[in-house]
Amino acid sequence: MQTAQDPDADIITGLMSGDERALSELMRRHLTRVHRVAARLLGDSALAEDVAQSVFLKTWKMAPDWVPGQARILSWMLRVTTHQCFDILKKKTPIYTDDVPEVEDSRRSADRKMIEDQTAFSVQQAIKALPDRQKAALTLSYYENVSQKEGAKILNVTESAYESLLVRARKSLKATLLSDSEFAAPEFLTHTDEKEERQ
Amino acid sequence: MTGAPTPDLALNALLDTQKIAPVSDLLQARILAQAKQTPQVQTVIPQSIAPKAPANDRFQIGFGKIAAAVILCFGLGISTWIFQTQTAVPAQDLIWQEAAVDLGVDEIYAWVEGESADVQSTGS
Repeated sequence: MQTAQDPDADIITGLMSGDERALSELMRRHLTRVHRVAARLLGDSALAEDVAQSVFLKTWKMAPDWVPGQARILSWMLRVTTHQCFDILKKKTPIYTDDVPEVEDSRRSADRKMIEDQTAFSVQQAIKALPDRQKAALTLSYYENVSQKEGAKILNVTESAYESLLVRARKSLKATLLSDSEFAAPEFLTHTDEKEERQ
Repeated sequence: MTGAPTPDLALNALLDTQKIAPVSDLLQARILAQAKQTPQVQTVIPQSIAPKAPANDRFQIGFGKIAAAVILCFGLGISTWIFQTQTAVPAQDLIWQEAAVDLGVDEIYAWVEGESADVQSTGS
């Protein structure tokens, strides 16, 4: 089954022949993305780096056997990433930390900062509670803007199954997060700057 | 005053609160260093470079098989002939023994083998 032209077709030949510059270019293009997907699935940035390293080395090692035109190399790499994350999640309880980067902004009040941190933590816990495949579908679709077709290939499911995973993931999150009166309040969802000006 | 957002928009706003720490600057260097020590694996020989036996080589291979069979048969035949030749010797011995009996010299040979002293002392 032929796929659309691979945007990385220009560097595949170099990868297949063992050109390290091709590997560098591949990392320049996709390392952040692969790491991001792994980090969202695992909830651990350091562990996600290990996964990313493993994925790129596997790509490098298997490159001579790559058949151009059969799939996009990024889709293949994301598939390997999700599967490695699933294996890790099955073996251990993921370590979720309050690893929300602090943004220095002197204009923000301490209360607002506390609410944001608490919100982020609650959302993090809700996503963590999702089944692995729903979490992966949500990550690929919402955070990585992967099409339904590509997402189904990455997770090795049919498109209808992938859509079902997405729907169920969002439904679970809405039930968990939006039923909470704190998150459902309009004050939270609208710009608080406007509220402060009115006051 | 803005209206309440739809549940989907509300959820998206919540999902947007999740931030990911950036990748370490050293990760790319680590991967490259590891790649230098990781040999690439080729398990499938591409069809475009897989050597195909040319027609004359196929002929030679077939001919070789026939030649091997002929040599084998020849070898078996030689072995059979040699075996038959060796088993024929006892038959020739039998002929000589019969001839010795006819000539009466078999007793002499019996003396040689120590069967009887009377034959030796023929001078008495």
